[in-house]
Amino acid sequence: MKRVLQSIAILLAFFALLFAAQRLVTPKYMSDVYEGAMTKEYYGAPKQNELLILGDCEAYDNWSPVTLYNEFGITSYIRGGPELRVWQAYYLLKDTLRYEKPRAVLLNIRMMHNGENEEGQEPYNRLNLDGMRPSWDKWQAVQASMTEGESTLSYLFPLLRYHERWRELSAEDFQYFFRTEKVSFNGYFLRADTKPATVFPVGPKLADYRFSDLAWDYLERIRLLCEAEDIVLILAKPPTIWPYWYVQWEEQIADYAARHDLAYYNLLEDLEAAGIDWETDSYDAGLHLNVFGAEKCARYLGARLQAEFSFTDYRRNPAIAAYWDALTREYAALKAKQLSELAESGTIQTYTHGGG
Amino acid sequence: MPFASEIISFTSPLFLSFAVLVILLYYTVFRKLQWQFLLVASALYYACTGWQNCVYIVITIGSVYAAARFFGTDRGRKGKRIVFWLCLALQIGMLAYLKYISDRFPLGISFYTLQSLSYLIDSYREPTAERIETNPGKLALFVAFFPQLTQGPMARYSELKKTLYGGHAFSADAFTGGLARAAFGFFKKMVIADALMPLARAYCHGPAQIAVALLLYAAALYCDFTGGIDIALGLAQMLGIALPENFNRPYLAKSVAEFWRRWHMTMGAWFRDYVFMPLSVSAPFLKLSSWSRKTFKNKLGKRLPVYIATLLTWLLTGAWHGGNAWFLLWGLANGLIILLSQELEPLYRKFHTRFPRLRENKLYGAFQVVRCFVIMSLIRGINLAGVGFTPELTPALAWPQWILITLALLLVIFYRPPKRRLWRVCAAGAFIVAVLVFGVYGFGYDSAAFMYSRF
Repeated sequence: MKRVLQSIAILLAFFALLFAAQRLVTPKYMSDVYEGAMTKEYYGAPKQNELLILGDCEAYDNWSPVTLYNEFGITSYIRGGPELRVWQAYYLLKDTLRYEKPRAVLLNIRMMHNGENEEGQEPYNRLNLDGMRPSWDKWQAVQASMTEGESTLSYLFPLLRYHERWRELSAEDFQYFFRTEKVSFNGYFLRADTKPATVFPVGPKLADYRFSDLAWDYLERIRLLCEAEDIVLILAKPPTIWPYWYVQWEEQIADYAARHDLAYYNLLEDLEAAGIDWETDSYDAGLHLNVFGAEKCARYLGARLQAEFSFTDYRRNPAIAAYWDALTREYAALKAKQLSELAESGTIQTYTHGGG
Repeated sequence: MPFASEIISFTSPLFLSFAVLVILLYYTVFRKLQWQFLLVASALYYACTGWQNCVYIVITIGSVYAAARFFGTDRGRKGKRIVFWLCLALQIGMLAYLKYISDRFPLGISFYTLQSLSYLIDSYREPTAERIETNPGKLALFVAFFPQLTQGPMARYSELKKTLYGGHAFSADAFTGGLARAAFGFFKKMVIADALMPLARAYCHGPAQIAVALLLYAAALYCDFTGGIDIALGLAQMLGIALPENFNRPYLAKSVAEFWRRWHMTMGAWFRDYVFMPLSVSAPFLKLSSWSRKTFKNKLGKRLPVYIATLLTWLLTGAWHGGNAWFLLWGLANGLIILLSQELEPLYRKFHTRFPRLRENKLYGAFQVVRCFVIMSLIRGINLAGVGFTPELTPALAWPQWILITLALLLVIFYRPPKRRLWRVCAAGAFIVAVLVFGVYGFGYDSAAFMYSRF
């Protein structure tokens, strides 16, 4: 009996030590590269969303769910990640369906151009997939995304990927050992700084304007999954001007949307209606929108969604309203804090709800 | 990384999975067919390196088996001698061709050729039932047992057969001992050697850096090689099989000759028993001996054949390590220093007669150890040149890494395998955690091959 207890104690100590080591060396994304914390953050949020927004930075920077709720009563969550691939979006959608079933999915289609097995893709894979809870969907997302040299095991046990961080551990790793702060507002990453877009790009000529077969394959999978689940699929192109959105790309997406009778919102072609002002609405000269631009986009989107699909107004639901009201207060507080920091020092210091 | 190159590396997840599966099945499903199962596992392991490589190992096993069986018959001595020399020439010729001429270099050929030759020579010398294996499968397992295939240790048939073919019931003592040893091997290889080796090869810009490089190289090479051997011995121990020890604290040696009795002991013993000794008593050397005694008449006359045999043995040792001139030079340097040391022996004796207490003096002992270490480092410099400098890399270690490596090296120096089972398990667990956290591996890491698996 004593030996059995000893063995159990040793095994427990061994796994506790491994777990603690893994927890310590895994990046917390609390003072830089905040996007790395977004995928995981979804699991802690209430699962009551009628709209799911999927996409890369065009998703998490350009639509404000808080505005969508406050002005239209639409509950939404953005599951986006930097350089997200369409296949990752597909598995994030499947993962989401394990927790809730939204009424509509808004797919940001610029990510159709994000390629497969590209050099330098690995860090983005990690930012987007590390935070997924262990599941068959995660396994498949990893299989679809891995580049040469990566191993599936390291996604299940991040210690195998991040162990070398032991020599660069910082106070952040200890401070957020047990619990991290929220970096987004239902997937939206708030930035209140402004850098006007003064140059409008002309895209360099490409050898081939076709999206990859893999991207098309997964777009089709997303469409079929939505169809099977009775979810409305909407394609969207936010108004950001960088990277250049080619006419040839637009034609392919418009054709696809028409062929399958999907709604397609291209805000680039409706800038006036959206009210985007490039002097005030971008934080990096047109690549991403700041909070003012994101709120405008949300207003445009909310109006169209209500007009075309008549979403439920959840502002009348007290249980749901309580969550959104609290989120709105935090949103307003962070926005005000960033504006005050900008006024004082010209730069933003606070990006997370807790002020990190 | 291709499947084949991944499975052969002890530090790859694929190899670890393979080893765990073998151990599990060995004590469960195949507990009544243990050696047969090990043979299949070893064959599978080797086949993963490429089917073409299997051709050579099968030729080696087949020819050595047939020759040994022939020695056990009543045929005449002359016929046996012809078969022996033909088989010997085949093994050496194949090794030389593949090592120095062909583009193909089958994994482990240097090791399994020497191990097969020891079997061939022993069975030729003493063709008794004890020495000659009648079951070709058992001989194949002796040659191709997977933990020792890539970097040794080189076992003798008469020793290894005692545990290789026996039915082993699971022993918690043997298993935990093997586990702790293998984990310590991974620790030495992945925490120390893989961090230091690129530094040692890059630190060669000026005399001061070269001194540092030689020091780092000494530590890295020791941890790399002994790490690999610990993994092999640990795995074998977990299977209940006793492989011979290959190291005995070599950096505590007080002379170069002693160093080689402590470092890669099975290789040193092989060259002593199968090259130096037979060479020294061979007919040409006996003729040379009588000629030199007549010609020089003094002490040199007696020693000349021994010197030539020593130098030839070391040249062959160098050639076994690699085909280029650097390795030959390295072998020759070892031989020359050992001979020089022997020549200076009367001087030492005189010195110690004058200062009789010095031998017991610990400080003097430390001086001898340092002196030997410096000499060996200088000789190893030739070896390092053979491996190749890569100064363009100039990697740097951050200070936490230096602290870690210093602590790890101290641990390597002072670690003694725990006697109690409980502590062995704890040690294994601690080493595994240390490897997972501090080891050099993962994305972007080209699972650095063990230095000795290239020979």
